[in-house]
Amino acid sequence: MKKARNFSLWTEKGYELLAIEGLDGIQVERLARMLQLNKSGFYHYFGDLQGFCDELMVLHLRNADLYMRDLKEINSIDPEFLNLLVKYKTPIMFQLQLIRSKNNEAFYKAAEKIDQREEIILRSLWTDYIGFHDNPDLAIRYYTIVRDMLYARLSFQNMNYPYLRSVMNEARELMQQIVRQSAVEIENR
Amino acid sequence: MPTVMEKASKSSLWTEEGYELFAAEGLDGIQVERLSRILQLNKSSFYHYFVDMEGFCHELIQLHRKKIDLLLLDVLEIKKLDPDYLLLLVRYTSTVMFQVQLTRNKDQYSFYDASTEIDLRVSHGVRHLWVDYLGSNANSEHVMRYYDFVRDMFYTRVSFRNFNFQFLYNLITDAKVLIDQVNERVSPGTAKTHSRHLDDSV
Repeated sequence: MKKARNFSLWTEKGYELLAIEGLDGIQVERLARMLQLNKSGFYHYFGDLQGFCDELMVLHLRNADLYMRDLKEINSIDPEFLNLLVKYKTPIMFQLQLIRSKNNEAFYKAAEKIDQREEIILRSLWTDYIGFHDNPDLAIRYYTIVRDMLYARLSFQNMNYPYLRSVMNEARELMQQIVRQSAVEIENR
Repeated sequence: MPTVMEKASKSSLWTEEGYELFAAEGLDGIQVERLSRILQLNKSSFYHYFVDMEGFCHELIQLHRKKIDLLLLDVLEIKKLDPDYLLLLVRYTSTVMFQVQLTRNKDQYSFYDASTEIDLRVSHGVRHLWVDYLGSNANSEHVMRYYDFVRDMFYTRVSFRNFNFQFLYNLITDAKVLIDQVNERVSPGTAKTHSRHLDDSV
């Protein structure tokens, strides 16, 4: 039991650190100091840093499954989806770090797959939110731009409902204004 | 005793190397120990010129501003976003990647203010190119807000490894095709862009 508990102490802390600082935040020495555990335990459980990162990915995929399960249950972008993002703050920040850092191609590809799973589930809600009922493909392509824009702007500090709401509102209003402008210009021709 | 010129050139050895490392790896890449090993200079010289890491980062941002000035001067000479501006960005890879790292480390030092100010200057400088690229029927206010979205998407997706003309071309083509298709949706028959994607690169 103690063995299992220590194993997850390492991975939980490592997961959190990677979410905050990216892969560079993961140093055995530092983790051991934070957890007040001996470094030998780390090598015993994970072999090396790569083995540890592989375990962090296992944990991330498990969190992604839980997130997708909850995502299927929601009925609106605002407030339900936004609240879900806040609830899954650490996994979302972990995901963001994987997408930004392309040093490990396998991790990057795994993160891309997670994003794609999210797009499929979110498709209908996002289409409703943007108002592109006749063209869900177009709506979801716009979503990928908005999500990546959000990944660039997010931090642990601003990952809260009011901030997410303001960004999503801005994204929706921008698209509505582009559509309105386009209609006006056609009328004026 | 070192002359003023010698002093300046020694301090610029630290900043030039630090600039490249920061552009490639962000704040974690610039450790005094590592820099001193690469440059084969004594660490005491670092503290003599910059006092601490905050002082060093301040100098790096000053250097970055100068490089951005040069980039914006070159922007004045070009006519088109594709290919002129894209080629320019590739020529300024380190400068662009330094800006990317500033935005990714925005919680540190004064990086947030510096990156926001520089983003604003660059978006002002390339405004005419972007508006022209998206088409004459584009309202420039909306188009520039869209530019901010696309730039931030670029910040998320880019790395030193995938930073090349092809990557930039695919990114802006996707952005333009989307806007053209929105216009096409409002008024069928108006879409102008045909996606001509080059091979994808990660």
